[in-house]
Amino acid sequence: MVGAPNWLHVETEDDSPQITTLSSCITLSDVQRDGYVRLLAADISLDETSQEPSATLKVFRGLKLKQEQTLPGIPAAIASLYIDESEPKTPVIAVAIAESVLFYRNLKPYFKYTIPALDSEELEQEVWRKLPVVKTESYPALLDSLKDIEHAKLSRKSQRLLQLSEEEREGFIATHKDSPVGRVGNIVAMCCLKRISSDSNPPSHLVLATDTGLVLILEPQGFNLVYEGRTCSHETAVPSMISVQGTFEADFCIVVATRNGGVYLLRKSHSEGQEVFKLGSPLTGLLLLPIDQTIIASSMDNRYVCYSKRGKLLYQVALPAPPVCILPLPLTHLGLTLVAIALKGGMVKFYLQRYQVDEFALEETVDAMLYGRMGMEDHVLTLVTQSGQIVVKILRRVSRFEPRPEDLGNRRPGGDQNAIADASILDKPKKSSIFVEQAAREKKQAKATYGSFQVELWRVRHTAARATIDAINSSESTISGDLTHAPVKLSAEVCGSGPAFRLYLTVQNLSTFKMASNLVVLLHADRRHYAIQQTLARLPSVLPGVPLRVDFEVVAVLDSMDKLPPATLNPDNSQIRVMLMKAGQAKPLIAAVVAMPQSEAAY
Amino acid sequence: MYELGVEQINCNGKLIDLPSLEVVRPAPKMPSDANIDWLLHIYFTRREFTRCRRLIERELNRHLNPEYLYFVQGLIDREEGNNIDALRHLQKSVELNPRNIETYKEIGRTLYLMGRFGQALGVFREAEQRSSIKDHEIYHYLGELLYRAATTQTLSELARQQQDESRSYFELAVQTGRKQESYVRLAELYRKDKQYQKAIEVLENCLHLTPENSEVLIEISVLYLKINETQKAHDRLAEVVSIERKCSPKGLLAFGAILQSRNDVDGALSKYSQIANAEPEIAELWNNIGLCFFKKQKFIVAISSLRKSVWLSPLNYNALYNLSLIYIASEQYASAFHTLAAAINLRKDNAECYMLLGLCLRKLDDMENAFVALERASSMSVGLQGGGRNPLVVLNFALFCYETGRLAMATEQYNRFMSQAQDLLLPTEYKFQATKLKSLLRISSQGNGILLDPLDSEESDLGHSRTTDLPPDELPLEVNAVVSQK
Repeated sequence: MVGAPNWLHVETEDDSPQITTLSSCITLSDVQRDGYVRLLAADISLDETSQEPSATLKVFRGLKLKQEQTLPGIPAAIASLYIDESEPKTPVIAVAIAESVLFYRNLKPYFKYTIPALDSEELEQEVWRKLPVVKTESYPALLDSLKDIEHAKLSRKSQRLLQLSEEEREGFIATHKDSPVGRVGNIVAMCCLKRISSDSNPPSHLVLATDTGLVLILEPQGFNLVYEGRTCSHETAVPSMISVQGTFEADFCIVVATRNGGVYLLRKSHSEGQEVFKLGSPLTGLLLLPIDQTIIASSMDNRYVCYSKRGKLLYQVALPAPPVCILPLPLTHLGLTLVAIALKGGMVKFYLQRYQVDEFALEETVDAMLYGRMGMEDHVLTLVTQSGQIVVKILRRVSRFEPRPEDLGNRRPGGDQNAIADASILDKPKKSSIFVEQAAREKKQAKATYGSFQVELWRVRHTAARATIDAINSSESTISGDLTHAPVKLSAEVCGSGPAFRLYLTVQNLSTFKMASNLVVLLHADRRHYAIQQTLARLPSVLPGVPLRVDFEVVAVLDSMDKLPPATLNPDNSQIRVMLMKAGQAKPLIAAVVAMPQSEAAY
Repeated sequence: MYELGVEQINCNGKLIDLPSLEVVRPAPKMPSDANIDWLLHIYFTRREFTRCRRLIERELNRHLNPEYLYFVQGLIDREEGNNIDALRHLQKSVELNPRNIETYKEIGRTLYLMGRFGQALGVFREAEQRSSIKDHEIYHYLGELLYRAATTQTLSELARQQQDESRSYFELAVQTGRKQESYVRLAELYRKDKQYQKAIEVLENCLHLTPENSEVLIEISVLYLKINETQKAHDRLAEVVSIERKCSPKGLLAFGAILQSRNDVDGALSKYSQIANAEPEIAELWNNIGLCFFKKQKFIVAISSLRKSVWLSPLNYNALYNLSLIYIASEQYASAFHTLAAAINLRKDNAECYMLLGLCLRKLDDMENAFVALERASSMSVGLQGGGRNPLVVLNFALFCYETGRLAMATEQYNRFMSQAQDLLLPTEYKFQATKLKSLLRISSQGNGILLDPLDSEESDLGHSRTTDLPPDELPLEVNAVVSQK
């Protein structure tokens, strides 16, 4: 981005307050009705190991801490809303903690609403009817029967009871025997839904999502539930985030993200959620954008995706770092809604649809963001960093957000294709002068080249054959001479009168303690004279003193016409070469020659 | 007489229990337990694992239902690469709630990551049975695992069965969920079975969900190329180029191949040069570039491009074949011989390759071996049925026989050529040579073996007129499969 930055940094005093919070736990409200919008934040202290997790509601005027109120638990969300039309309009602060919503008016406790308990299983109620009256000895049996129920579906007191040691049980049962058996969900997300669309702070309802999968709308005047929905038909979907658009009176949509990465859509007319899409990894942020009714989500695998309500992926952008939280920035004076994404490491990026239009970097990761009218200023972005620093930035009035032209450029069909083509010149492989000369020489003297290649090829074959013969001759004996292995003796006898013979080989280990293993026997004979079915045999290990006998079938080749051996066979070459080899060794241990007797003619 | 706080009073000499006040006292409530699973989840998604671990450690002692704590701990262990601990923690979570399908899925996923595919398959099968709803993620993983099992299976029948089962799971996944990965996999399986039309259908459906997805578009266009719908493939690729400035090398390669097949050599080269800048080490790319230059009659550049291709992938049969063809065209017969020998060692079943080898040997004056090579080429070509056979092989053999004085054999081969060529549209070049041979044969049979001028022009011309034609089951991106000048 060239020129002045779009966001003006607000200088703060050095001793600015420190808070640890989440995006859902900060809000802006004109609590004092004096037209000065204050920042409200629930400061969650988790990290001090000495004390229990606790939270305080803090009210800031500017960045000065003005009021504090200790909360009875850790809030999942806080919201500021107007509950009626009566003048003067007084905002009410709703704080969702565990199963209740606490309402504060003028920063004084005003009402506590607890969501209704779900009916528990018949079996559990039965157990609790029996427990106070039966003897201690029968507790284990009753408690065992509780284990048939899914643990998550038990009421809290049953869950606790199962954890207690046997001595503690009786007292616990005595104290809690009369309390209702019911399962209460925890509120995990909350947001406001305006009753009617109007510019001047219309009364709102509260949308609550519980970890039992319920989505409730609470009407905060009479504290009635006016809408009850389920995230989806199956139990395991636990909501993690919600986002709402519309007005209660006309029509509204609620999108719910679950802990497993699923996103479900509930409508005014449809109180059971339908799966819109499911990502492979959990979501870190979810938004239902007001203008084009698209669903924006950021997920743990560094993606920022946009789906239509019908589950069509409209676009996705890869993020350079894991996203931490996302925030919509409705810029009403420009008629656009930007999406701010805080990334791990301190980068904050602003997207207009799929195009990045602005970014700035802070020194550390932003944990929570809030945008809106604060103090007397209209477009204020408040960022809370991981270490608790509060950073405030104000949008410059003259800022305009437009996608960069080069991002838009390639959307125009076929506009700059030629530019791409010209941009690169093919990097051809180099052709040196030697290469060309060689090619020319080859053209002229192809035959000579080929001829000398053939000559050399034959020479290589010749050398190889000679080396083989040498290797065989050098180990010609019946006892292996290689001292590194166990000495082996080979003897042979030929049975039969022909043309079929049987060649018996006896392999004997002459060592007293070494085993001769990995041996292979190879028979080699002139193909024109003898036919051998199996020429290769892998031998089992030969133990010292236990001779091993193997046999092979050898058939002498006879002319089919005159039943005589071929003319080339004479007593000098009527032999079979037997080689004993060790696997992995090129030279044979023993190479012996077995002289074959003359074959009878076959009739 | 009544004293405050005493529950029994003495009244008329009798001890009386005072009525208990418990009726009015509200039943003691369970302390509102600080269930901060949701907070743990938020920190987990933000990858603040140390904070999560601290939270879990503290919560484990007091939490009423630590199922989710163990679950998150397992996931964190997995993210940090400690799969064994991850499994242990997930297992604890399952013990607390055996009905949570999500935990099963995560266990299966962990096993999958560890490479224990058999176990993973078992876990997903169990999850499928326990799941009350049709869960497309389970189906997808089952399909994935079965597909993997099928590829490593040695028994072909079992592999076949597993592949079919895998496909039916992907089909289920596509019906119940809408995940791009499932669609892509299903298309891949169809493609493997050569059901290209179905694969295209699947991908087109996928495109409805994720429009402007260049990977899918490219895949579709490649499939269109397979079934020779060049125009549609071209349209798809043009779409990709208009969506993204940077088309993936695969798409550009296909686009270039289409242009090349339409004789737009310069267009093709410009596409190739874009790839060459980004990712120069693709053997097929240099193969195609080489053929482009060959078409432009720039032999030296063509040879060096093809040699680069062979250098990148020395066992690439197509590149070797093309290189030898260009060597022959540029009269470098000795090099051609070596390249052909390498190609034949890779694939011993190609008649054209033997034919080229024969022609090459003839030029090198090794008539004996040339005859053996050509004879084998001819006998192979006769063995082939229909489309695979190439009358050119027989014609060349006939010419060679005539040239070396084997007149009877030449006549026989000539007749075979004529019978093969009957119903084919042959280039005039072939016909011309055939009629010439016919007249020569007639003359020589009459004139008792008069040797006529050798048909020198023939073979080198053939080298030009044939570019390449290989069975269409080759890789789609190689020009061999798409460029065919015949």
